[in-house]
Amino acid sequence: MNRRHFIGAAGAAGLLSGLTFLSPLTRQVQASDYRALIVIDLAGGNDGHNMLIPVDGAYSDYEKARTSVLALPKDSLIRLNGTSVGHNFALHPAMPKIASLYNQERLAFLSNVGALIEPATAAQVKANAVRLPIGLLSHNDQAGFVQGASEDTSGWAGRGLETLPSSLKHRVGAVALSNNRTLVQGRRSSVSIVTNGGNAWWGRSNLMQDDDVITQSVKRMARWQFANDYERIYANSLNDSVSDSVMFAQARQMTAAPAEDFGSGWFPGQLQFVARVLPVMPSFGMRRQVFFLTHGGFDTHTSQRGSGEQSQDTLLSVLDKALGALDATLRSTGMADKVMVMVMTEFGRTLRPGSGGGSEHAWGTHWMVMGPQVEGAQVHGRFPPLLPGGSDDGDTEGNGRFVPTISADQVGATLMGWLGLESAQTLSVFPNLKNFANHTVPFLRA
Amino acid sequence: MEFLKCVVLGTVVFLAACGQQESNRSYSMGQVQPPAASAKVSYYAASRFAEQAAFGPTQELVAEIQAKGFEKWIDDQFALPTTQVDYSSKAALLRDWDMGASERAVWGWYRAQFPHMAIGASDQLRLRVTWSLSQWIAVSDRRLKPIAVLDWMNLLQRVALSDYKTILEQVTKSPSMGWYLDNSQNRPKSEACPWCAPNENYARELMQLFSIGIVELNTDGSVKKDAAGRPIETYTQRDVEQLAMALTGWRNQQLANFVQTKQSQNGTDWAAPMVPDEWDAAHDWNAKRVMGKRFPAGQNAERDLQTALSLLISHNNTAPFVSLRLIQNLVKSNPSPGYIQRVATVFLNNGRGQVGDMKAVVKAVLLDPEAREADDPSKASKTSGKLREPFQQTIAVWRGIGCQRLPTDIDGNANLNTEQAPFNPESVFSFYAPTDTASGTNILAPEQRLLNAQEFNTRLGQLSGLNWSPILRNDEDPNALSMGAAGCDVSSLLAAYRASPTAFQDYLAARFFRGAMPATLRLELTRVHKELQSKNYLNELAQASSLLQYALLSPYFGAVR
Repeated sequence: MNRRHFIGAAGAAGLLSGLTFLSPLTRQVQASDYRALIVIDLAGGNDGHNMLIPVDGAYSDYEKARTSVLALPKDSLIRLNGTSVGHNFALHPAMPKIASLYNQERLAFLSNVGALIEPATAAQVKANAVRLPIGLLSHNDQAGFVQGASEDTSGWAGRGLETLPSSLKHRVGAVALSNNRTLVQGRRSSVSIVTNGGNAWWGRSNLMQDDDVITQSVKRMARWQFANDYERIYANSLNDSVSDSVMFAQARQMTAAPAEDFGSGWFPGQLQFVARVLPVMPSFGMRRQVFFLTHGGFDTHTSQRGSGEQSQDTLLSVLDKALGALDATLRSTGMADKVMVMVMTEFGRTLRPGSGGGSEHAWGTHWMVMGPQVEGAQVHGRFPPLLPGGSDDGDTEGNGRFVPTISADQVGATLMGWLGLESAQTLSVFPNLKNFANHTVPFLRA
Repeated sequence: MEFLKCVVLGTVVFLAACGQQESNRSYSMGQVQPPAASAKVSYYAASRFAEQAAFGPTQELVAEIQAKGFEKWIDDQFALPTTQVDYSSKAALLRDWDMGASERAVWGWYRAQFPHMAIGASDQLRLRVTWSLSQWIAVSDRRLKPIAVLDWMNLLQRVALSDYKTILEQVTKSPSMGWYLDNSQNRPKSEACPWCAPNENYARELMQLFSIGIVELNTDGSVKKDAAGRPIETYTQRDVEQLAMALTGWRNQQLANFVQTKQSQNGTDWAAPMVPDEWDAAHDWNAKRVMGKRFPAGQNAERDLQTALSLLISHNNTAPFVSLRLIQNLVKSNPSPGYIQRVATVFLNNGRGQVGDMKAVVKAVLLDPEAREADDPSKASKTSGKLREPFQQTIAVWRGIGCQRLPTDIDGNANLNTEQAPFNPESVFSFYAPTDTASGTNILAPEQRLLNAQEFNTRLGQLSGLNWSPILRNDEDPNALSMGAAGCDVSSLLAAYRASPTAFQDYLAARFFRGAMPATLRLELTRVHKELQSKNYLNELAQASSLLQYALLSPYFGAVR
């Protein structure tokens, strides 16, 4: 059932006015089968080389390749417990909370993830012997690709939600917390874009007040039908926004702001809002949801280090604080075993520094996953040797652009499987996985 | 109720025809009478043209277009002097390179400058093309200081109606762009400069976003495919690296008489183009090869740039690339291949053998039969038009009520509340992409990305909450003061509101609905009108402006068809 039919049949207001009568027991039963995936996109291309750093013998490769321009001093790094894929690792000094989550086995890194059509080696790439995504190293094309938009403008989470068994579907399954929405874009269903923190006051009308004459007018306008594409698209957008605003305003009323400090700014505020309303999502009939958030500014061609607002050091610190607060909030609200978090980015950056103290667009880089079944305190996959022109460097000039050894689709398929996507449906959501022997990455405990 | 009946009876098809009957009927009810049939252009068509070629109709503009006809009006626009932002009164504050108090003090003033021009300047067509260009050749005040953006606006205004090669050259030499995409820091590694390294940021976006795009195109904008059915990429990473080397060696100019009195001040002359750095090691003097074109060894920075510009302007993609974007921003989101082809053909040759003549291209975009077909609303097709993007929506509102500039407080600060503050996109990828489709559809609708709850909320509140501080007397309304000082015709708005619901609907129809307001909307407005009148705590201006905003929230205004 698409959302317009849903509204037409039941009416958003009708649905919500019933809410207050849900008994606590009913809510609990529903909440027992609720799962959400929160995806954080580090937009611009996060430099994974300066996020997850080997501190064994490989550190000297790192230090040499990055030079004093970018290399983080070894004694400034935060050590991670244990060894993984043959290395001892440490994190960027701005990431103490994430290091702690790793050491608590809540969080894992996925090494060298990126956009692939089929498995590829650096030698194959240099020899033009493998099919590659269109527009490699271009921000929007590669961001689109790792989010699943290789064949149309829909993303893998959006398609995945559309493909779930109908008992798990809901019209507000796909939620974007900014206008960046590709990942959660479906083929037929629209995305709920929630950027106003659940505000139902529009001009002089409170959308939650069904007996308000003006509110009624707005809702009628949003349901007018049109033959022209753009009048119809506008009306659909208006209608979706009305019902989403009402629902999230209701959710906001039912909850209190988390006590944890998520930090200031756009992204922390959006993550805090998600953390706030998550616990009551099941009471709206939700079973599976994907929330997509953007933390932007990682395109650090210059001034990557330092305390500037746009430096990677600062941006990782913002991420660390927000993720730490999210984890604490999920635990205190009893949602920690129902929520998976993934931190992605469109591409990594060159191993070599660029002019102006930055780095250039590259390819594979490290992602993070955090959640109940994650095999934590591990780096999954294969960690590339940090050698410009080395065995994993797909760049003919040896700038250090590593060919991914995990496909973004494999990560997505693993997480969509956790949300309930049947394995027989995997290829309809992730068509390029037909070229891979393994459709998933074993970072979840059975 | 004919319209509603049509909706009920014919749920799938020919709704436009139903709407059309209503449109004609409402049209004849308009307070502003359409001109006699002898006029060149109907009131409806002139209003529609003002939405494509300007920032929306004003009463004066509609009359002018009707009197002159489209082509004469365009030619007269081309001849108008170029409006520029004059920031001399704020130069000292703007020059201060501090992110602190001094910049915050001019932020609202800065924010109002482009809206002031869009609302009140007479070279509307040039400004409209400047705005279009800024959608795909983007800089952002998230990374640039206001002064650098003000000079960028002035630059785009100066080159908007020149030729596309000049545009690419001036953009490349702009210190604002040089800072935004780092080309002013692009230096080759060499023995003389072992700490230098090429910066590929600008070279990549110059090709990807400003000129040719990542896949090869036919002249009609369709994507070329190889034998296996795959798109053919226009360039490789190697080409990006080589072009980056060709673009090394540019530096900003400093103000001649600049005396630094504070450490936070910066003497960059943002109005002057970058120049080749005198230091030989700033530029790479080796031979390069970009997309098969050889750049000979020993060329200086200027020669290498000219070689690059010739390569890009003569690339097969540039004509359809620019044509699609201009059509999408001015006329419609989903043009036919034939429309793109016709405009691209003019791009390739303006009739006098010149490539990229922007005046000829803009004219071709606006006068094409596909641009004009819906001038007769009965000829509007399913795919006609586009969504009204947030910035154009808010400017059209102020123009419609007769404002001469953006209402501000007495210090000139504007509270421009929109999902699309000009020159403020999140990144060089701007507010939307030409290939963006509407959520859950495969229909091209780039602006749909910006139509979220926050934006709709803003559309219902933009005329209230204006700030005229300090308020002089208790009985003065800050909205009225702000609007009055901006030259808005508040008295006509109020007079129509006081007269009757029908009179106010006629007022709105003439100014915002091309003289043709559908009966369904009139019905809703009558209800809302009565409801607002019952709200004693709102003064009449608040009631009238609220009603206006509810009318403009409707899909009839949200789409430009």
